[in-house]
Amino acid sequence: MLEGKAVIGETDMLQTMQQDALNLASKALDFFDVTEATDIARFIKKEFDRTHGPGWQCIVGTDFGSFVTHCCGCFIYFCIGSLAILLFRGSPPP
Amino acid sequence: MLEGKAMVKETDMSPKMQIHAMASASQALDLYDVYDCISIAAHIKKEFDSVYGNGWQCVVGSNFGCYFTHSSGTFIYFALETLNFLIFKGTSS
Repeated sequence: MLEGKAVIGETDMLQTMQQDALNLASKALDFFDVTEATDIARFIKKEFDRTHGPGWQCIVGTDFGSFVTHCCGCFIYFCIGSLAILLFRGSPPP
Repeated sequence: MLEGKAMVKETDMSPKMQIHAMASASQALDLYDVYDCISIAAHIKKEFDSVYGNGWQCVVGSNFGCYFTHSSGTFIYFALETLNFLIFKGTSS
């Protein structure tokens, strides 16, 4: 487990779900190197699809900006170690 | 307009939509500094929402990886100048 603590930058998510996200990111960093951003993103997204329903999107990296539309209550942006992680559920098609 | 040419890395968009994506990115780079990734992403996403309907997502930067599900025909990943651009419409299925 990482010694570093995660810092939440922005969120619209239940506390328990937030904790899930942080735990998963920490677990992913045990499995993968920090340079394997896509594998980390895949790990987190797939687990959230499984436990919280489909439609999650996950972005991981050291240098990015984004602008997204997300479902109510399904958004978190946080930093852990040297990485920034954005996890959200996009709006379902009309 | 930028002298640099955009390079498509991955896409399943129609050619017309691809051109629109790259033109929108180029326009955003005229309006904003390359360090202002969020404003650039916002510009492109809002353009796509207004022209092709809501639900678009846009990521801009020089170092990121991601994993997502997208609607068919609504995905493009390209490089322009020093930045990489990812545009897609998310879906739940």
